[in-house]
Amino acid sequence: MNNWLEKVHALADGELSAQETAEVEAFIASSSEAKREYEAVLYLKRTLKAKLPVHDSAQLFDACRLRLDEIQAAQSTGADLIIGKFRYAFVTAVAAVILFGGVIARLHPATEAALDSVSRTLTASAADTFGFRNPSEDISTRWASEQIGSSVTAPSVTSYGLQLLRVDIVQTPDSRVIRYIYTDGRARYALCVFPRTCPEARELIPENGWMHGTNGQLNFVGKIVGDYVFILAAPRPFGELEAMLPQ
Amino acid sequence: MLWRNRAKREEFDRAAREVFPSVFSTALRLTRSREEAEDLSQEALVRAFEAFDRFDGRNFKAWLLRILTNLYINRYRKHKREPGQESLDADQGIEPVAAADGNPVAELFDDLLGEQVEEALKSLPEEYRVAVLLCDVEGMSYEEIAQTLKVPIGTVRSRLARGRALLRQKLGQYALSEGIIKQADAE
Repeated sequence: MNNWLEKVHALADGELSAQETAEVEAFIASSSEAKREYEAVLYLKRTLKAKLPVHDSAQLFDACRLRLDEIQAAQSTGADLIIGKFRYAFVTAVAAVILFGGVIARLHPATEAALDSVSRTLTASAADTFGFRNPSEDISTRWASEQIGSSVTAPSVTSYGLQLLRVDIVQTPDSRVIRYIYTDGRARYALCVFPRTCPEARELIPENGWMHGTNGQLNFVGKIVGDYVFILAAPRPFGELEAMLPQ
Repeated sequence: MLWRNRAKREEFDRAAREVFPSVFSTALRLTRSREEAEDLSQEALVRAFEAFDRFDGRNFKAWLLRILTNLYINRYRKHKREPGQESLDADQGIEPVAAADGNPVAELFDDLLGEQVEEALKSLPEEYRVAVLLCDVEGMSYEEIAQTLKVPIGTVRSRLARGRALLRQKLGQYALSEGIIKQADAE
């Protein structure tokens, strides 16, 4: 029999047709070598199934779900959420929203575009970034500063009980942005450090004050700190987020 | 739209929760690094969610493992393959899994620990490791593996046969070093 080894393996894997099965079984019955091989493959398969541990992934799965929450939140519009919550009460107001929606959208078109752009940076997929893992903000900031070719002062968000998961460099159309990803064990926090010259971030933040924004379930607050614009986002109240940025 | 999205998300979470331990374990065995495995399995889940509308509804685990393996091949392997390293498919012939001296394999490895089996699997060359992992550990069919790896079914067959023979040798070496078997059984 040609390629009998592969055929014996395929029999053990249940991958042969009825006719092939009959042929290979007949061959195994006539060859002690083939019989030993068949039994050895079955034994090896059983050993792998029985002995290899299934690794605990519950915590990671929860982190993944939070990431999906963030993605969904970034994709949801404010209208989606309001309609979802008060759908019956607002049914009669839909026509009015449609009527005036266009007018409202024209009031601050540039701001909305900037908000969208910042949201995309905050929730950029790992495929569009490159990152570095170290629990220390100082070490991570040193790495990030080298990547963007400019010295940044490290934030101190971990002093609020958050754990630094990673730092990424996100390429936006205008600049390279440092993004820190933190967790408090339940939710993820994203802190982006934009250069002060970055138009979309600069447009959103007043010179001497705070910026507040919401996209889906994510709240974000922003502030100019020296040569940079810090924007922190998480599904947490504004006050809590403000307290974590330099005052 | 909102309600449809919520239903889709709930359906996805249910299916993903069930198979995620396998996905993460496979990622660990592919990357051999916990950090990379966490990144890889998380990214695979995000990609799967984004493509969930295109899932044909048949075998969610195989579909998710296919996404994971493709991501691994595209994102990790290309950076790690050493210069000049070629595919092993054109290598020498296939060795049997069974011991050459006719001793039965059964029960030779019963006293090996899971960790030792894990190490033996991780030590296989990548092409063999992926095939053995997807077939013997995750139960994917030859056709599913061939589609995932974008190779003919014949290549899957030969990688499996070679990978298993090599794995048997590695397990034999562990068993020998632990005194579970004697020299002749390990060969």
